[in-house]
Amino acid sequence: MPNKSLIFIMRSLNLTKTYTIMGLFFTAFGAFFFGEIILNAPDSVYILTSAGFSSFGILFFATPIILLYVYDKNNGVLEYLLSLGWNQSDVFKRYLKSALLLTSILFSGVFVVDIIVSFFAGALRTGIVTLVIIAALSFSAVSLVTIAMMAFSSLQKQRVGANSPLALTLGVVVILPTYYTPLIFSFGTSILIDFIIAGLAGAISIMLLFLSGRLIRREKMLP
Amino acid sequence: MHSLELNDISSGYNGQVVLHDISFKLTEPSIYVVLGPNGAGKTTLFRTIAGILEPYKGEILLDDQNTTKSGEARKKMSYLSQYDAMPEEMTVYNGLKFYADIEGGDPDKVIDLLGLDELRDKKFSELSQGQKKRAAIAKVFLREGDLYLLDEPTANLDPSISKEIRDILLRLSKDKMILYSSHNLYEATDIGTYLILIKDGTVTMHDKISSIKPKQYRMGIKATTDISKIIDATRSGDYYVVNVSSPEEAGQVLKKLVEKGVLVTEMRQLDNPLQDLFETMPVRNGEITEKEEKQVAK
Repeated sequence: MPNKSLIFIMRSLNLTKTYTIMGLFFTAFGAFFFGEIILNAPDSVYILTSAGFSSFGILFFATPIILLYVYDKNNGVLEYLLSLGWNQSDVFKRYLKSALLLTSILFSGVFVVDIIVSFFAGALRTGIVTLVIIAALSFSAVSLVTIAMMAFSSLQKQRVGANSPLALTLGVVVILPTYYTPLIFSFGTSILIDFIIAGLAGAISIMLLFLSGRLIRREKMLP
Repeated sequence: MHSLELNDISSGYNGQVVLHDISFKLTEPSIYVVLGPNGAGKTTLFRTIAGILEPYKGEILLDDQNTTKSGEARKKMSYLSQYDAMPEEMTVYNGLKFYADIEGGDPDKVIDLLGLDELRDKKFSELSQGQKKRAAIAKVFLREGDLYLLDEPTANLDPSISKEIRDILLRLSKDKMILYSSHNLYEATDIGTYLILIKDGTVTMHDKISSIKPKQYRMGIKATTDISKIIDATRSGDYYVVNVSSPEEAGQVLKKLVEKGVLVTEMRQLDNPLQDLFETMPVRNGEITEKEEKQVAK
């Protein structure tokens, strides 16, 4: 039996290619930026800015899953899944797992590229730190955006599309400080702030996920 | 023997009650037609039984298992909503496979059952409305349930396909319970054994369709001569229309015409016996029960 999350991923990619292309572009730009800094100034605090670009790209890359959720809600797939015995939490978890799997796929690519470049730059430690920040930011931002968007969609009174998902702005809020902290703070402080923001976003996501059964009524998943 | 029991069920959306204290018990394999005007609560009833909506109060028992608490009981049900609920971007086969991977079942078997071979590799989004409906119905049969909840399954289908679906359901109904909602009175009398009539979120009648008697029969008669001079009949289009109080009286009218040497070429009931239920008080064998009266008055 194929991985269910993989099926959801394939379905989401069939829905839209725009976010996938945007995600790949931003991530590639982040990797290029990372390479430029680590090869020329491995001790520069601006290496953290590359983490922002990569995380942003990964967030866009996972967005089709959110669109799939809205699409499935509107055409009755969610209603049918509920009739099969799924509850709100099961539905949220399935789409979240798919979004995180999509995140993992692109992060794996970033991981390989950044490790190789760091190795050749002789700055493996800086490379690993940057990758940890990318992982923390992108996974927490994707979780928050996915769950928040599902919640927002479920709270809609009218059936409307979600070609520009509102919750994406939450992801931007999570990632945006990464661009500015190196301008204001030291390397260590910037890393700490990034981790705190990622931790908060992750905690909110987990809280929302556990509360989804109570916060979101089943009828909100009907077309 | 399977049974479905609804005890005092109230349900609805966002705290707004649509179904009020619904109670009935189905105890034999058969087709139970759920009939009611738009907004009566048919879809809400189906969604509540299917476990999509949690009832505000009351309990639903399938084979004595509470469906809101027992996963096993839920697995015995199959639900077809008015929405196709098929992944539009997938082919018919892959869409059915998508659900088969979740709930089990064999896509090839249901493709064969519904005669979907020619649509198998077509994208769902490229199908006509009728073809989409057939594919959507197919997914319901992936799960071999004891109870099928079919919310207007033949809407948008052409007559021949509708008949095929009804034939499948009639075969299934020998050992399964099927709740079937429809607006079509003729379809209801054609396929159903039992009727569950819903008005304003309450069940106003639950009875065998064969025992429902209309208050008045309007018979249409085609004859070679003007029969209005022989019996009390009015001309309406191709027919002479005669109002009688029972099928027996209709037989007597026919006998009288034949005795007078009239050649009757056609005689048929013009109205569906269920028509009255939409317009007037429910009448069962000529009597209105006190409970029904109160419910309709409400």
